[in-house]
Amino acid sequence: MVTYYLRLALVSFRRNPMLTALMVVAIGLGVAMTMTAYTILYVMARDPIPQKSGQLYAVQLDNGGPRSRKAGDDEPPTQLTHRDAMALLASHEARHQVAMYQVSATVTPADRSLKPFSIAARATSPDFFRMFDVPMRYGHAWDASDDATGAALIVLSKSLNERLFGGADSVGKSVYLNDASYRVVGVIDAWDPKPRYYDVINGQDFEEGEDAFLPLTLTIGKQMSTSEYEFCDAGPRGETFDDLIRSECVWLQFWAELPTSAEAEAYRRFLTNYARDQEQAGRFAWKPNVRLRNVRDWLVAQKVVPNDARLSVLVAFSFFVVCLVGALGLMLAKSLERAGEFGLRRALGASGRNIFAQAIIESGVVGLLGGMLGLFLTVLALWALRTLFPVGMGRIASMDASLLATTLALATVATLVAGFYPAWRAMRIAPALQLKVG
Amino acid sequence: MSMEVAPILAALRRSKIGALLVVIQVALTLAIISNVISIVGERTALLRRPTGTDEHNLFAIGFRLTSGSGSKAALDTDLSRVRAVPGVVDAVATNTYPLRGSGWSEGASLLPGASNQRDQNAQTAVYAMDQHGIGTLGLHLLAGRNFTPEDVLQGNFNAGPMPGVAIVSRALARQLFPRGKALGKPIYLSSDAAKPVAIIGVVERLQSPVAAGTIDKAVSENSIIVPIASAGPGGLLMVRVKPGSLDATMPEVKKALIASNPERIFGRLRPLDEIRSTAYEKDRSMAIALGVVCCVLVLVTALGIVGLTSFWVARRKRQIGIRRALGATRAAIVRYFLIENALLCLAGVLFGTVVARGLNIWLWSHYGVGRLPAWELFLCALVVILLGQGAAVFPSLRAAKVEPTQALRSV
Repeated sequence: MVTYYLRLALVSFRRNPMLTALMVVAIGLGVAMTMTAYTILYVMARDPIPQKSGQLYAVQLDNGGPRSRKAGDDEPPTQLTHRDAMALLASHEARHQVAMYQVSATVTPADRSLKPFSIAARATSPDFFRMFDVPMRYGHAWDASDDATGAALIVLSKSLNERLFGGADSVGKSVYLNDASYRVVGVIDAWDPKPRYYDVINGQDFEEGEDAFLPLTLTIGKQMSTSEYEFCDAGPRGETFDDLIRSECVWLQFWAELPTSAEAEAYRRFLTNYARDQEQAGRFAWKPNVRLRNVRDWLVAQKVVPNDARLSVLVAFSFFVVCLVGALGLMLAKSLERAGEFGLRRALGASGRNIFAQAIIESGVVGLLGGMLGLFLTVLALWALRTLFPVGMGRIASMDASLLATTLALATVATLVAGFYPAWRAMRIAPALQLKVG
Repeated sequence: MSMEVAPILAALRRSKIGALLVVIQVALTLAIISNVISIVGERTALLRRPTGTDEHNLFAIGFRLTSGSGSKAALDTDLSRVRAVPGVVDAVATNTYPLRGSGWSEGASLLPGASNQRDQNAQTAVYAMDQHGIGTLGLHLLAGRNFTPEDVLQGNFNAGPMPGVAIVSRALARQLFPRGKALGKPIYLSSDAAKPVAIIGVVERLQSPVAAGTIDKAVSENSIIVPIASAGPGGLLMVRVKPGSLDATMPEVKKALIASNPERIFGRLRPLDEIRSTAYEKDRSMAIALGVVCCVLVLVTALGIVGLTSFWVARRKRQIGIRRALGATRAAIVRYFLIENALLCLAGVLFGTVVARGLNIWLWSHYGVGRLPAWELFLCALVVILLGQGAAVFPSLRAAKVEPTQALRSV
């Protein structure tokens, strides 16, 4: 029966090519707009570490108090001072903790014919790799004892390893960084969380990650300062690196892994008590003001998904609604025009339900065709965005299988819904009236 | 005229749903287009703001030494070599440049000892350049004087101590001294809160490095230039060239710097035009995307009107034939359909105005979109009506071609 209706649909398309084409184009354009905007929002708003995003918490302490911020703002800084970060690390109050910052460094390749180049490296305490589920390709990360000895160790990213050692197992080899030699203990595998939730401070959330990892104690020992932000709203920085370490400037990001809500609560109490201790010691002159946000809440608080992404989806969807209204009008026009044909079929024995089915299936086919056109246009639009705006869109605007299915589903379902009323009207056509007019 | 309208309304009553759909389509189109155009206008205004510098003739070049730390002498050699390159007007060592995205910022206050943000009178971006800064960036000095070599302090970027003098942008001067003159007055910067810094000059305009990300003038237009020189393992130079010689001069400047000291990595040479387009990329892409949506929406609505009107024409062939047989001219037939379309578009526009205002208020409260001015809404409404009429012209002309003999035929 369905194939019969499909044949009828095809016949009706051939008889009204312009009207059908208009409908398909309207649906296609509407779907393309909506799915393009939605794809971008989807990539930006996706949970970057779904298996653990409820267990990883960004730690914030208020070391500056209300006077260090604008009136009415009670949000503590997003980073910690050196002193607080080290105190929290030493407390071992969470399952795992990590303190980290980003540095930039110059790599001088062993092959003297190659020019030196700059890299971005993450200076971190050892738990980083375990906490953020960073996959290792070769070797392993350093551990707490290596950290204590202050050995010059380095973990390379997959791309840096490819650049320096052709992708081979480089564990044990040396990398010449700034003025010293570092021994490779591990190479990570391809790791590209979008957004880079663990470091959203400098607004490069969707760009490529760091090239290498260095032990925190080592970089601090070498007095390497951060390549991101130092915020010294709570007190002066001073001139030397030692001044910086003793100051109230914040420049270290801190995360804790707290698998259960009981542990999270306990840690929150610990943080509050720590802040209270600082208050009693005279360092803080305000009530404890701490934050412990899991990955999802952190991304929301840091406004990682730009308002523009949401606005675009809104505009695109309204546009789609207009397209559907237009398509509905055209479908209605088409079904009323074929009143004679429906009347004839009714007279020949088709029930109202048959007519309804025929009309609905026709809408479905239009929806599917519109969806395919929309899919093609979406892929085209995403390609255009990637080409025109490689910096902003290059790593965001791309489709995957689930979005593909969503596109076709959206088009078909929306058109079916829009086609409901015209099909119902078609069903209600009284056959006798149609045959009389002739 | 009223004689013509009555039968049109009667006919529309029989195709209520179709008429309603046209009205809804027109209304939604007006609501969406007027708000989208408002947003596009805002973005475009944003990315047109001038930095205050000679943008078309400036470029930045950063470098990092592969070994050792820099020295004042080496930096001076670099600069003199760069200034000697033919085509170069001036060059300066700096900590950052406008629209870079990040830089050094400080709180400024009128009283000493204010190191808390709450006690500051203003926040400002800090540019650390010597007396060559104004000439290189092409800033316009409104009052006071430029630095002398004696004013320059050898120190640190991003930290104190501060020199004794500074030049401020007019926006910062106005915020700190709203009533009086800023020239000669001392201010205090948060990282060296006890040291008075005297304002010796005011430039007309100098945008901060983070200007692209904000509409807040207190963040984008407040800048202070302090004469601090710093030599470290890295450096950043701004170079100004003679108009039109940017492409020719940039590689020569790089060669001169390589000759001066090859033991370093150079960043890409970035003309300020390119820096600007990267900084505003998000706004530009949003404006373009919304512009495309607007155009396509207009197209789709027009097609929808064409389709529906053609259908109504086809349905009423018999009635048209009868009218023609009774003596109606072709022009009268065309007028009939155009007036019908005009009535629908008018209804759609009236309804759409309400929806547009409502949408605008919602967008304003949730997305910070600016208010929609009445004249813009009116203009959009006019355009939409004209669009509707234009779309209805083709089917109307086709209707006029219906021969009177149609009345005698059975459909």
